[in-house]
Amino acid sequence: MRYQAIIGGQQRLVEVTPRGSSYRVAIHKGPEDRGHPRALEVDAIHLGAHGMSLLVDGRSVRCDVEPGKEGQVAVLVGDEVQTLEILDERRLRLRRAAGKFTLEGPQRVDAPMPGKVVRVLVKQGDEVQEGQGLVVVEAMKMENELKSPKAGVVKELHAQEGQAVEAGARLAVVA
Amino acid sequence: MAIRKVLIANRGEIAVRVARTCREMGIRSVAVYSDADRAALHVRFCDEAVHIGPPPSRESYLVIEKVLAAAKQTGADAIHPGYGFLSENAKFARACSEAGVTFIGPPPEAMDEMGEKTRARRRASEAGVPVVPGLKEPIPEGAEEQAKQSALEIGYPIMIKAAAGGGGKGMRLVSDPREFDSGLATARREALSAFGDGRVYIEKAVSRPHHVEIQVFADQHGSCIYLGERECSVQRRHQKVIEETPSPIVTADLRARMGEVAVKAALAVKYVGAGTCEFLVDGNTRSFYFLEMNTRLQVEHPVTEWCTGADLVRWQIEVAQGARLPWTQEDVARQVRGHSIEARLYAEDPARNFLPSPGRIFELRLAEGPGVRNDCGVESGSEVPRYYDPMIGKLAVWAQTREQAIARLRRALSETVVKGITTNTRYLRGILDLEEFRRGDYDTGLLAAAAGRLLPKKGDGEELTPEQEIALAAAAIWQLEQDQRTALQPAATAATRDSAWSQAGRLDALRRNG
Repeated sequence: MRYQAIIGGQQRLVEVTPRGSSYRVAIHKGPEDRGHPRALEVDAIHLGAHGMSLLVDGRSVRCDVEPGKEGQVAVLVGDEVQTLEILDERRLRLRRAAGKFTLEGPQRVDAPMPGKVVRVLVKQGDEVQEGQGLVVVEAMKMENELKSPKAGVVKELHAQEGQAVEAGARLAVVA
Repeated sequence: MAIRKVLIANRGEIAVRVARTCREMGIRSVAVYSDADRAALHVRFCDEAVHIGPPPSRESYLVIEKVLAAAKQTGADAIHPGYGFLSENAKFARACSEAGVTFIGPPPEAMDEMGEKTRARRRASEAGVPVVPGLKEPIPEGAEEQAKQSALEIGYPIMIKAAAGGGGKGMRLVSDPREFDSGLATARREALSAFGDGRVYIEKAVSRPHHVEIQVFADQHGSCIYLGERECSVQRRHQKVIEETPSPIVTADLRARMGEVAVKAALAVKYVGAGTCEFLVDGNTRSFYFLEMNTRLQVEHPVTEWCTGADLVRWQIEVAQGARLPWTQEDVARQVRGHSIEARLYAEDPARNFLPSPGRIFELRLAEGPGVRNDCGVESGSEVPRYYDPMIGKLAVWAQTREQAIARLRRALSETVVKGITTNTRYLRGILDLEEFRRGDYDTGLLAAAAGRLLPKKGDGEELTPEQEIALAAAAIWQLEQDQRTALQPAATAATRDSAWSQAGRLDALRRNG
């Protein structure tokens, strides 16, 4: 079976072939079958709802596979979470049709964690530089300055001083 | 007089820590909790629990009347303040004594002398203990311009610190006079938010300093001993991250000299209980300067407990009951052994500029095995509230040598898994791998200097890390198995991925059992 995966900002072709009780996993350098892939012999068993025990070329690794939305998967390897996306060709086509996310056009600045808006550093209509502070959110007694992702104009400003915000709340839009 | 019931005026790991010793001593414990902490671990570790208000600490854990009312309501005869919150508040200690409740800590007079850094430094200076140059008094409202002038005279870089503070909160390094106004405003705001007291003072920032502190313990009968030092120079923005004892730079001679000064300082204010004298030590000359005395149990007390074998909370309670110290200074020398290192687990994301990461922990796996101690305020299913300190626990190890202790802590960190929120475990392992740390050749500038080497590598580009390869293989196998099952069971296609995955697990279990 062939899958397309995005990990570390790169798209790669991954081929999985069952071999008896284990699998051969070929990881290609890019999205196409070119050159020599990295080939792994993997024996996999499940532990509970998300856990897997893998023997990768003899190396024993505990993994937890946590599926997210639209092909996103968080895999805990040892004690570190690796995030990636994995899609078969049909899902990949659907995703492409939805358009790609880039820094062109309006950018949202969302609260990265629940907290309280302690200061708003700009006004609607202000011109801002990339990296300029827009809003300061306090959580866990620490103040965190949220910066503009791009140079542009503050199109929308939703943050208000003193306001409690949830993670993901839209604070501003820079266009 | 015997203490029968202790109210723990704190939350998180330290409340759990104190409750454990209470249980060992056959003393009943009372938790207090805010609206955000009804489900918190410390509530379940105590025998009784009292609600004391809304989530912000200024409306709950910092309200003296509410804490005392909880003590009265439950018939607690003593209050353990933990660290932070009301632990260094002399007004609280006085209110306890007026309410007829034993405050497990020093007498309020000693807190007055030592609890506020400016007074403590003046006091130490009078006693002939060297202190770092700086203003001895908090900056009064309206006197900002004079303070700015004084800062110029002291010489930049300067440090603006909370008078009531500690733990790196409300503390700002200002390296340029142009940053003075904003630095002062931020320091005051953070001090007010963290301690309910916005007063701050200025001192000169010392170059290449080590932060070394001495644990002292005094009883009500005039005896005072020191229990060795803790090296706390691994700090990020003045917040301790890793602590160890013994310090790599402290010789037996230096330890004795610092210990004697610390004991002298404690005796000068008729100190009782557990206290810590913080010193700045010059990495080259080994000169030391008294910084302040923390009139409470420290976050990092477990490393001292590891190397001495003493339970400092038990000692606190016994001393509060009027008991004499169980050891003399000579006994300490006979008891101390090996090396201990502690790492603080923070709910924060080092890859995103240490952004706090509150939220629900859906799975927590703690390290076990030889020489490992966890002091954790959370468990699987716990919510880490956004209102409080991001430290969720501490992992402390002991081994015979420093080298073995580093290896053990590294091993223990690799067993520590926190799912649902982001923590600094990987960052901590990175610190242990730093050449400077391994050599024991580091000062308080370590983390800033090594920042580039400590930030997680993105793994972008041609080569994948071994962990990325394994993650990819696991995800691909999981996807293949799911696709095969979906193909076999067309009726299940509408199911979500997650439930399909659970279903896969069930199928697997059936197959294994069948």
